[in-house]
Amino acid sequence: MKERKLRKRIRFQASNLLFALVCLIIMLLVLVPIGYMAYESLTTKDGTFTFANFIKYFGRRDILEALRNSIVVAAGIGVFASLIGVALAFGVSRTDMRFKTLVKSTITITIMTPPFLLTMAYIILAGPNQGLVNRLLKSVFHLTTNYGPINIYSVWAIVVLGLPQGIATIFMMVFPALENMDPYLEEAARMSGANAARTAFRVTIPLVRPAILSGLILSFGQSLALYGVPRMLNINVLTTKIRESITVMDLKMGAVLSTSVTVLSLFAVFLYRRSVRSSKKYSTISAKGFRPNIMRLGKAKILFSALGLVYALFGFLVPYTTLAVASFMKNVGNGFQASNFTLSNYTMLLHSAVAKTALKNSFFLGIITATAVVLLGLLAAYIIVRLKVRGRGTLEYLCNMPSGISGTALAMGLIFMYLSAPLNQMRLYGTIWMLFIAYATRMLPSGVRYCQSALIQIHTELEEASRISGAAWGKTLRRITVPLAKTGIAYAWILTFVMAFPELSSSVMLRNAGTDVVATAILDLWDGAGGLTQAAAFGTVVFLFVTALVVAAQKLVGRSMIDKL
Amino acid sequence: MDKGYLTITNLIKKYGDVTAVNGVSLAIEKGKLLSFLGPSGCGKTTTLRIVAGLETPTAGNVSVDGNVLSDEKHVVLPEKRNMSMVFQSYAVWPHMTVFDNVGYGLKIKKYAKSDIVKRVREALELVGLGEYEKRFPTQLSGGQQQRVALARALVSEPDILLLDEPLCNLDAKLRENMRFEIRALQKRLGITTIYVTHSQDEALAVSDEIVIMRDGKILQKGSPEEIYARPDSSFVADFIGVANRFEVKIVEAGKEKTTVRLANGETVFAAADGKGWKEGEEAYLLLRPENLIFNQREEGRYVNSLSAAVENVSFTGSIVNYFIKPKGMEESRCRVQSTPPVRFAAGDALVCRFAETDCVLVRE
Repeated sequence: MKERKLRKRIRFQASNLLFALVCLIIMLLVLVPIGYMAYESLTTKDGTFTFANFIKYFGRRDILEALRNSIVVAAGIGVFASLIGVALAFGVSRTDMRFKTLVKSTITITIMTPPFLLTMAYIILAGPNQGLVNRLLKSVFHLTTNYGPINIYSVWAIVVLGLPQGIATIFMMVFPALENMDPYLEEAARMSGANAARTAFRVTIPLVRPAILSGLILSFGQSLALYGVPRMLNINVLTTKIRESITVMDLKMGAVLSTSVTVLSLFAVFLYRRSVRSSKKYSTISAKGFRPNIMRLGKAKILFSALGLVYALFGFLVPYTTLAVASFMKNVGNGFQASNFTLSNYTMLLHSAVAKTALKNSFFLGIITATAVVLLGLLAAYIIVRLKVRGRGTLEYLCNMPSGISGTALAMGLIFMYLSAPLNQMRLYGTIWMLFIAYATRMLPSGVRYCQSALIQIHTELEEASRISGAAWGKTLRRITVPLAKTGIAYAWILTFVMAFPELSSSVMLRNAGTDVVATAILDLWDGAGGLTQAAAFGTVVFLFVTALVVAAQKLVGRSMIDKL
Repeated sequence: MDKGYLTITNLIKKYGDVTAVNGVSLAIEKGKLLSFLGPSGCGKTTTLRIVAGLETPTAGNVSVDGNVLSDEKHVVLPEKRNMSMVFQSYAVWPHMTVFDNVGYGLKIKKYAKSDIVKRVREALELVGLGEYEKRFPTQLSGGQQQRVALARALVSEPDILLLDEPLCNLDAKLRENMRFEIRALQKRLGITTIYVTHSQDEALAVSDEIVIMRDGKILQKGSPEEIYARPDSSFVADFIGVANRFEVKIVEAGKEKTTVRLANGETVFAAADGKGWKEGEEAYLLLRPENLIFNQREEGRYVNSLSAAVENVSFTGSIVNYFIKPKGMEESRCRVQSTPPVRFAAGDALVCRFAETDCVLVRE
């Protein structure tokens, strides 16, 4: 009996130990870098506490302008994306509109591909000097100006180019809520005498209001963190200023701006968590296998179908076709002449040492990030979903935090963390491992989420049956949980890889000679020697690769990313 | 408290402000089958899960053969208890064959391979699935999956078998067959068993003893016959079977019988029950429909009688239900039963007679 008791205590501690270890790793990834950047922003050079840094930098005109631009962009995308995203989610889920599959594909592609590819395409189309549309307009209307008539280099262009992603984010929140809603709630409204439109506005939309709010807040935070789009459009926002602080070696500025943008977006995450929690009172929304009611739109059908088509054209078909076409051109400026088409952009890419290094690095980073994130995510998800440990709510909160931290700000925190004692002894700065740490942190939220949904599908009793059959906790995890969650885990791995592969905003801060990745290489080609067409070729390759992987992942689990649980 | 093989003492389980189990104490003798019966949310499954070691009690303890397995500080882990459990969802692992499912526990406990094969085959034979060992659970029907779960629970020869609503996902016919099979198996193997169910028929059919639970508390414990014939409260009477209930006032509490008065002024004699009734006390009289003998005229051998008019007749196959209105008690409805054919129609008058020993008096 005594021996039995002792062994029991050791086992008990083993699960606690694991909990502690997972928490420690996640804190090291998430909280410590934020702590370093906050400390750096609130101290003078000799380490005494001060607010002077904030006063100094926010007194500067260019930084105030960047702040204003950031807020305009985030709020603009949040508001417009909500309007369009909710309309599309409602249309696809509840009406007989056309182009449903096309809209869903566009949503998936927009979520999984980096927005800077989209921006490249639109600069090729609407750039003031060389843009294909501008050249067309000029020749049609016999304009003599060198510049325009459309100028894409503006704050509002960021809003427009950030919209597809924002819409997708809102759609991803609202669409499942609509799909899982008990159709009897709507039928009851119809039976009480409400017509279809009234039912939609008074019953359906209010019931998914928490999901709409969550989507709005999430897309606000995401847009605040946007780096690629403003960087390519050459507009100052907080994230681009953070990057600038490194080139001008003003690290205090980086600290102040990173802290500010992090506080802003963490506040959004905090609101998001609050709204998710309050959404639990809408418990009528259950995940039963109902077929939702399909509403006949009548005359409005054209309206919804047109919205869907425009979204697909604008967010997917036009930009990626442009990118693909431009990738076969010698010079975008020469337009559509037969002599302007060539394969040389691709052959150059094959021989380019930079491209080779970048691809090698991105593959390596994608693989180790996906592996690490899925392992950590699985353990964290297991703790959150299954173990009745106190503090698992906090763990979930921590895991979700990086979704509110922009990649540039996180990288800034990592720079402070790994350049100060004692961690500078590890000499990680400048190596690929810095990128790995940043990627792992950034991918953590979605990794944990995918693993959570993989685990939730496994009935707890399957694990309990194993326990009672005599298998301890660890053995049950190995023999029952993991084999049953295999597909879900593979899905999580592929999607994490897909998101890590073209990562830009942390990479641009942390890369060094030899640690270039795909996204930074494309940006360098764009800026430098290769020009638009070579960058377009590289971008097209990345786009096709990412799309193929997403399609494979969806085949694997037998459902699209959007229709999850 | 009687000595038992498995004893539960003052068990309490709280989830935040909610008390799921509120002071449950009981004992089970070795080899007996005890069932927890009650409506959903009564704490029966929680109690079972505490016995299994899947939940930690807030207070109280569970012990087997004198060894405390669970109290608020220490819980022997489920895998160290030598118990088996059949879950509501069966929890048959879909990624393993029937053979691997049943043999899992033996493999974990490092039995010799030949021994595993022998025992698994025996267990499968026992539940009638001898030919299915190579199949995967997804290729089996609900009833067959349930048998796999049962075989898996029995194969390791557990000290205690726990069954959590094992039949609730089966269709009515299969459910009825399986309950007799489970009972026969349990008796043959002599395993101490706890059976959780919300179905009174199931509890009556399988149990040595039934524990009726409500709101985390035990209302009554006894053999199926006892609980059925002598319920302690209207709730128990209503939960197990059908009970007619009348408000009465105690007129006289004698040694042999208790005399009570119905609302319509009629007197009823009930056999003495030792519950210490006092003159003038208010009580309820409970009568099972099948104990009311009814005819057109007053005839039959019992002293108690009740005149009534038929209000409704409902034919359900082997039984005809008559809903009647006793004379002078217009607000109370009463149900009596007979075998077919239908003998009365709505509006007919009849007289019910019943024995003193079939009268049950309760305070609530």
